[in-house]
Amino acid sequence: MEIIGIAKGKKSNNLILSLMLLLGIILFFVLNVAVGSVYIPFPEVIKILLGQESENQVWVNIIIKSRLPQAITACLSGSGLAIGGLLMQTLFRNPLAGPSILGISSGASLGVAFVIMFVGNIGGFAFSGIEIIGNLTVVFAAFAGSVLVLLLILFLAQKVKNNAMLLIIGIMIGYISSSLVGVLQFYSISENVHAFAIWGLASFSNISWSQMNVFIPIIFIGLFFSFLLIKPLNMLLLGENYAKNLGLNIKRSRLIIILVTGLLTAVITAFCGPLAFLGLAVPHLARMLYSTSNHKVLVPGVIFFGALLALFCNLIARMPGFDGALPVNAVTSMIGAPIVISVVLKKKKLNSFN
Amino acid sequence: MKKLLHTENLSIGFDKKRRSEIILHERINLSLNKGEFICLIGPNGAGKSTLIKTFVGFASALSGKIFLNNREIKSYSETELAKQISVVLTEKTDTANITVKELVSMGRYPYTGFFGKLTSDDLLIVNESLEQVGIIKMQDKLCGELSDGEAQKAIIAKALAQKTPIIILDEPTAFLDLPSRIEIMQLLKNLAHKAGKTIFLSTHELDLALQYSDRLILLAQGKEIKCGTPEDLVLNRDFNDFFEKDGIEFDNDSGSFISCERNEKKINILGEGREFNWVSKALKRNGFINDKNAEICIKINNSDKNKYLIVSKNKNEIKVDSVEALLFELKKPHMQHPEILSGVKESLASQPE
Repeated sequence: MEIIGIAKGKKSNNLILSLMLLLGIILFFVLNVAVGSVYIPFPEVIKILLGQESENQVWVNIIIKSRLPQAITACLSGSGLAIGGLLMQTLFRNPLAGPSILGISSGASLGVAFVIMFVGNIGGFAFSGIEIIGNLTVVFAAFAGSVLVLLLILFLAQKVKNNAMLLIIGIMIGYISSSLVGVLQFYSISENVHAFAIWGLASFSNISWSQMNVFIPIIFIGLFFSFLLIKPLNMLLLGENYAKNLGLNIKRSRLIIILVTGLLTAVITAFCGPLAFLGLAVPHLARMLYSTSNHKVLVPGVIFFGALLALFCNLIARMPGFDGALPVNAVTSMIGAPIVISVVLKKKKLNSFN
Repeated sequence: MKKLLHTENLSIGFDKKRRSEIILHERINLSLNKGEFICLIGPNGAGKSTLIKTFVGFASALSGKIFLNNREIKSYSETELAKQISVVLTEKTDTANITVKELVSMGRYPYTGFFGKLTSDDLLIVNESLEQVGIIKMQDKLCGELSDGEAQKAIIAKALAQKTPIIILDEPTAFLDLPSRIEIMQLLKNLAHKAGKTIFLSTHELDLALQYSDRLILLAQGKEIKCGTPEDLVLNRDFNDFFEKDGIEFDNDSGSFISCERNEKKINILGEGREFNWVSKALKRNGFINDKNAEICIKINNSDKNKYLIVSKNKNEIKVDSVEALLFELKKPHMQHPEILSGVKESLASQPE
């Protein structure tokens, strides 16, 4: 009876943790909307969020057109990338794997670099940093680049038996795209190189409501599929042979896992730029928080944690005083990396992978 | 006996694409019967792992056929096969951070639905499997906290939860200490004899395999595969054929391997019981051979405190209380009889090769 008690205790612990994460998400979501370079009184913020009339139409515009979509983007991007990272780490049984490990975000970079620098050069015009934000051409270029790499990877995944080989191929494809980007940069005018660099720093603020119509459904489809992958992911913890012996179709699961990760990464990178860090770190943090590798707990946990961390980083980036905003990538790594280091030191070991 | 799995002219090896295949063994005709405990032994590189991989479908047969319940194994779908054969492998798992119960529950995956939700029946089977291997009390521990022996039991419990008639294990006792090895072998034998499972495992533990298995399969490159009860294989001198190397001999009486240095020094050991056996072993290890006519005599008196009495050729008597002291006395120069010395010289002379 005692043993059963402990088991139940663990389950309810996980539930409490998840509820706390959820509360954290709500809190930081509201803070994200409430805090910014323009001061808006908090009661007014709540009023506007609840759809009531406000005394100042400018405030309504700021919140509805700028801060709200930004907070939603941060939430979904954080979740999506974190799930991508979890999927890659489990598939490749490698703690250093992240959603961009297969070269998909490098593909996006290549697409964007091509548009900004190559087309810019040919046309003889310069993109400025501000101009490219929200530019639909850039979004399409990034998406096209990453989907191209994704298709290549999916094709190769069927040729290669071994996951480790696929990982190496993915990394190599990443190198190839990076080197092509380098060549493009070398022959470009500095304004365009700067514009590309700005894109490379990522931002949650590029998505308008009309683009949300594309962004939200795709992310939700990706996250939904990650729930369907819980069982295969758990089997993969045992290694490919054990998984196969438990009746798992390895090749098919591998394709679906790569497809889901690729889709999430491609869409997020297209709209927000190449977001670093979140996808790699969140799965580790979630494993430590819940102290389990069971994906039944991890998949929802990682989704919550990813959203929370992205909201937190976005809040820091937009703190009053930083006027305008810091690039998200700088904040995620600056804030996130020390958190991971401190957690690792506290735990003394990354016991998810030994 | 009911044949569960059998092979017909099976060839195993590596199929190298665009290059010629490497055949490890040809014309293998074996059968695994219900409720049997079968050990596969053979020297390193004999193809034990390849045979096991071919049986469970991780590698494909080069030619020949494998039948499971008289139906060719190729025709089984992955899920069907998962309900027929479960495996215990040597490969590393990333399970340090999941509980023993969660690990064993994975054995139910071939039977569960899309999300792997366990029914009350599944939970009952998981509990039963944990009980069968004796780790029910550790079910809420993380796998990373288990000892190697316990971890092996946990993964065996996973295989049991799979509820397959056949369990195939690749060196399940590697990396374990001797008591754990015996425990695992005992456990597996009981699963075969009491629970009616067919257990097929590869191992390097010849002595344990001889003791526990119903049938042994001997595999070595370039030799025809041999299969039979351990005793028959010993009596037919098959063990000698398969495993003897220069300087290592299979002792058909004790069923263990010995290094075949010639024992030249003669000594007469008198006594009985455990003390007699262990003193004989110690003397054998030190190059003595028991001979009634030897001039030096060891008398063992089990009731005395100084149990061991050494009587040398000139009737000198020395009493000692331990085997260590006994061996020390025997190494003293005045114990070395010319006959003994010459024997030592001879054995030294024959050493260098």
